[in-house]
Amino acid sequence: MPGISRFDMLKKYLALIRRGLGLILEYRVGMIIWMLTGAFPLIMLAVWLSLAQDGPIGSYSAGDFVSYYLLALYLRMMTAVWVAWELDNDIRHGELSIKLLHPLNPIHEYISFNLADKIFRFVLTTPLVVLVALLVPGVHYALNPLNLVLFVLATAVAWYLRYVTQYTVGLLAFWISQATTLQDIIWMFFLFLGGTIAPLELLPDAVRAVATYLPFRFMMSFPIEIMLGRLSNTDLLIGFALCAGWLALFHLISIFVWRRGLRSFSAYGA
Amino acid sequence: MRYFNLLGIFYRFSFLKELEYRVNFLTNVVMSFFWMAWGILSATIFFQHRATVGDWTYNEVLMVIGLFSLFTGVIEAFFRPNVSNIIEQIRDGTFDFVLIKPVNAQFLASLRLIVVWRLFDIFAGLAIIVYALKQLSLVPTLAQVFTFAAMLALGAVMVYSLWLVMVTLAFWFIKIDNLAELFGVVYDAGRFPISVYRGWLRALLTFVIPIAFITTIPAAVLLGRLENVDLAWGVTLAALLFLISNRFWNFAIRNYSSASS
Repeated sequence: MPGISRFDMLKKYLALIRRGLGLILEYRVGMIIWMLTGAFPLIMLAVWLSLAQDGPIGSYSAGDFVSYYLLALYLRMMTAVWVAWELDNDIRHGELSIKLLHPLNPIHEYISFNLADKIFRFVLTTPLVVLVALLVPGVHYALNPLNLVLFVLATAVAWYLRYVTQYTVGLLAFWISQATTLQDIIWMFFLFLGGTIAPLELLPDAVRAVATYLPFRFMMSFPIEIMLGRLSNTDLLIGFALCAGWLALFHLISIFVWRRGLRSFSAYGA
Repeated sequence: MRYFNLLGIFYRFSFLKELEYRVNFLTNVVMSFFWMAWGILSATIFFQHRATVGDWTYNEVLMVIGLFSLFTGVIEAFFRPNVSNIIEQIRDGTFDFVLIKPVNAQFLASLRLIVVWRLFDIFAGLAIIVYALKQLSLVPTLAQVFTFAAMLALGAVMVYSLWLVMVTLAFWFIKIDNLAELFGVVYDAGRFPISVYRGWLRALLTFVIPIAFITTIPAAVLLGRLENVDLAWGVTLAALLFLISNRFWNFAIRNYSSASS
């Protein structure tokens, strides 16, 4: 965006986020119900807890499972992304044409609405999570300032990784009609390799060895591992290096696909 | 009899409409297959660490997974398309045309549409159940098969009633789509035998949103684990839910004033 300073951009974002929050508050009941639909990790917790009755599984005791899945639930809420469906809808129904006329790349409109939703969820869920962590016996985290900072950072990375990959998949709607189906397949892999079905440590060795390096881990498991205090300094360094690598790669791919898609979009003159 | 003929006609139209979208048809069948494989794979993770889950062995849990898939098919094929349809009709006022037809409005509104390709889940679910029985080298008796079929029917009635209640809520709250999603989350609990869950959660899943009767209890029938109490309670609950949902629906219809008025 030539001619727009950082400050202008920030002002635009604040305005867009305010608009998004207005929308969210208008549909607050629907937004809360939708938030609750992310409760799937709780079922996994119930199953693991029933198994952990006869003693710990791997290095996970019953309390560890509660600690793990409480954060898994929180992570899932704070990184929820649906942009593939938005894009798919806007591209196929031609609504993208209108957004393209705005003096701002449409991605900023999509992102700012998602950020507004994150503010809403943060305010609503953070006190609850803290309360549960304090009240439920056996919940414990490696709480120290450094871990907290790293946790926030890793959570932001998780959100952006999920956002930018879904954005890219959504853009495929320029060429194919089943872009959201592809997103569903990615979601299956995410549930397995990102730490929803089981903490990565409890996956079969061969699977875990691969999953440690795949982007799915950094979409959810990594921040939780930090807060559970299960990572050595080397693990942390390698982890954040991988984060940076995957982020840069997916970011570049998304820009490439966006440019290509735009060209073919104007080509059939919608 | 007339109603059966009508159903035949409705379903034929739904089928013809879907044949227009063949690529969609195919991808959706493939996706159903993937989700099923996903369900089985994720269950194996738990059995890597323990021999039983909630006192059920791997093959027994497979039966639960088969039933889960079967009922997913029932819901997605018969119930969900109608829910979306009714909500839309209420929103734009065309629901009036349902009411003035010379047919029971609940029948017409709740059973008119079918998504044919979802029947795949039903057949695949049955296949998993048969496979699991083979692995367990169990041959169910005729009585067990009948009880099983009866339990499936009861389960279908319960799920139908729950969906009808959700639909009926749309008369007051227009944006109800995500309530159906919320049902999906509770429904996911049916992937595992009910004995996995403890305390109030198990009570909730047995008595209020009777997921237990959809997957665990039919499986228990074929495994010879069924208690007579379950059977009696199942009949009562299904009748109760159906009655309540029907009353609720009629209440909503009486108080309904169209979107435009």
